Amino acid sequence: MHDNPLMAGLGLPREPRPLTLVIFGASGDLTRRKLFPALFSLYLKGSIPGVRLVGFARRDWDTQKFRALVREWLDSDDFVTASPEVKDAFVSGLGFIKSSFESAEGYEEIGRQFPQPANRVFYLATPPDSYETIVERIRLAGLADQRDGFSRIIVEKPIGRDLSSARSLNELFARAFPEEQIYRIDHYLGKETVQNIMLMRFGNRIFEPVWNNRYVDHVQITMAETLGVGTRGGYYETAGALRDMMQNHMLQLLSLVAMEPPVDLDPDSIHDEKVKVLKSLAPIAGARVATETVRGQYEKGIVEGAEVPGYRQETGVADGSRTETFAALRVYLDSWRWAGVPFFLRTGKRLSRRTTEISLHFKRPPLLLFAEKKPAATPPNVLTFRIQPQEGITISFNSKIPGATTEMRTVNMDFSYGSAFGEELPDAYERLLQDAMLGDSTLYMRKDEVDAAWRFITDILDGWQKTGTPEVSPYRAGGPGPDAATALLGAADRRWRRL
Amino acid sequence: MSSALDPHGIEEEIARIRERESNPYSAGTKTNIFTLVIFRSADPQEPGSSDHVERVLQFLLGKRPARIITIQPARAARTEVVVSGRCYPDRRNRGVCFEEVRIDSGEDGVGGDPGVWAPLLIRDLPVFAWMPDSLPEEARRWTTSLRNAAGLIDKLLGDSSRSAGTEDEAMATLQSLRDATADAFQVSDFSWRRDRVLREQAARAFDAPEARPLLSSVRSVQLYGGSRMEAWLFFHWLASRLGREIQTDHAWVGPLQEGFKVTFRIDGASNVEIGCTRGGCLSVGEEKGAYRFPTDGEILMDEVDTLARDAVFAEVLSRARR
Repeated sequence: MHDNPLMAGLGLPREPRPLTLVIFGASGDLTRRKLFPALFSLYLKGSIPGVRLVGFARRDWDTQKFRALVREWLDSDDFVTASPEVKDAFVSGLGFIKSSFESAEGYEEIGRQFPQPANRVFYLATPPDSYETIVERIRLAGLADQRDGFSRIIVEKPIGRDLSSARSLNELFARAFPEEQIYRIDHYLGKETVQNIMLMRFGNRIFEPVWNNRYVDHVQITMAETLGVGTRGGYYETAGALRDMMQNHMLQLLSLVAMEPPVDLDPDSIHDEKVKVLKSLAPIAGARVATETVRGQYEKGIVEGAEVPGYRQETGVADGSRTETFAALRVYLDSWRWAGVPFFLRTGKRLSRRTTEISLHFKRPPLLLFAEKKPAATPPNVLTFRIQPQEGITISFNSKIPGATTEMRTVNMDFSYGSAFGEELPDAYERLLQDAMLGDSTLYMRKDEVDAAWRFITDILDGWQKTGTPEVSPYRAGGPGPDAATALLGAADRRWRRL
Repeated sequence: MSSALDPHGIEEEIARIRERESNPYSAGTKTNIFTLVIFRSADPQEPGSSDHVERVLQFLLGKRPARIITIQPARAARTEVVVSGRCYPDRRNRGVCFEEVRIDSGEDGVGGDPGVWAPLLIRDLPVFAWMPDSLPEEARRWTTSLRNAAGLIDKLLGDSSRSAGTEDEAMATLQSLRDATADAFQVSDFSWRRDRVLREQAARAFDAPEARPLLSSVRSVQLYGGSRMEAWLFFHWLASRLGREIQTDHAWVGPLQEGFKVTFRIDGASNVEIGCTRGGCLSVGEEKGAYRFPTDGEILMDEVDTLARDAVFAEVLSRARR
């Protein structure tokens, strides 16, 4: 093949091959709030020139109605600078198929009305209970064939509710699509600051030498929310914090912070290293759940100045519910690098502050020379990755207090991710959608990652169910979580980072 | 506020102003990430001197915190320094500030001397020099200053379209600046950046496997739109990439963002056309999509965000010497 000499040095942004993107659940909240803003933003950047967008939903809409609605969505504050002509041009290319997910005809219409581009990406922006029907119908309609072009599927979490159901779902996907064409979204991985964890670790030389059990005392990963379950009470009753946050987002953060450097940036190379971390998780099973886990449930309180109800008073929640809205784990990795280093993971709703962060707490110096040799007067160094809000990195260390003394105090060296860049970070969905269209699965979850994460979490769920321990500890909304979480840290001089 | 040339006094003044300007922002202010030194050939205060520099900088305000040092000729006998600052909130109400130092280079001629402005560069951060007005004139005025400061600057930015001379002269000026400083810094051209739309679309038009062989049969190329300099850059880029001269015709002069059309005439095959209308829609063959032309502010932001060398531009630049 002839090379194209005109391409040299242009560094053109990556562009997907021409494709048809079919969104199932096109009338839903996710489509309106996340998918179309992300797609329009990509369109404005000229990143998806050959992409045909098709909505698929039960609603009694036609193509004109669908276009008009999407046009309205684009009039939000996010796109005030885009001209009406460009918005019109964007919606003029939209297609729509009105059909139930069960009807074979709807799927045949996809091939009939939109034969080109023959490359297809199916986005399942639907509740998980529709996955089976949709995937099976896609397969039966021959739309998953890879003959005339590629055919991909993007699915939202949760992928199952335990190891067994996750495996069933993955088998269902595998019947229709090869693994490399299945894109399992964990939108957390699309966040710029989450991607920055790997860049910070492996793009700098100064961190890796101390990134191990010789120097690190323990690691904390926190995902705290101020929100309650809101209108999702019914769903949350069947999920709980462990399934809803720990199995996906938190274990993904754990794998990024604990992984070995990949040999290259090939998606499989990165997934391989993340899977190794998840497979090295020491199981927490049986009676060990009583000592290695904490679960809690919020009671009424005051959050951000407003009085809020307790979990059991939320709509859709049973009076005597024992569903955990807070979970904390002490986790060990059976690996050369991390043997003996506890990872403390906590997540909860209705806590005092919304924050997501990872902190590495280093060991104290081997010989305490200063501050009258009192350990308490020599606080350990802490390296903190703030994922949200106020994305950035802080290193705390000790510095001499001025005067004729060897007393020290902790000071912070603070890097705010936003200090270099004034504009807003792109939404996670923008990056994730673009990657899926390009065929780059780096920021998606591979089947064996999902499998390894569920194996670990299912042991805990089983342990909770069989032993009934630990108790679901109540905690006041607007506070730091249940007291029992403090005991989990195991050493008197370890503390959870303040929220 | 006016200060003497003492850098310590200027730094103290900057600190005072920064403190004052950042006061309203509860979430704090951002730290500087680069220094931009603007070499001007004309006093923008003078009547008739339209100041597009301010418009370009406005785009960075609220996005990139920086120290901006402007060196400009003044009719006063002695060089004077004016220090000011302004902050603009980002979306989270953090202040993004410009620390501004204006050096009015008087008849004593010391204003452009690196001994005056080099101590004000923020250490360990990138330094960009920008000649925003007429390139040959600025280059004549400031070449000595740049030569003496070559090791202090990472990149020189200019806009060859704002040159009063011929296209060859503008490019020769950029090349001579590089030569004069022994390639100590990179050189970037706003016109080259604006031209990117032409290069991108031309590259895409011939990127399909079946279209690539046509490149060897391109006989001539005609461009409607773009400035003379942009056309010059496009044609030289094409010749440089194809490794041979081709017939060129710049049929109509106008801003690229108002629309353009490029026609490649090919021996033994149909013409290949790329084009753009004012609405921003672009067509390469059948493909249609949005294209937003970058403003000079966006180009400047892009330039101060990266220190990567553009080897293709360097190649085109070196053609100006031949």
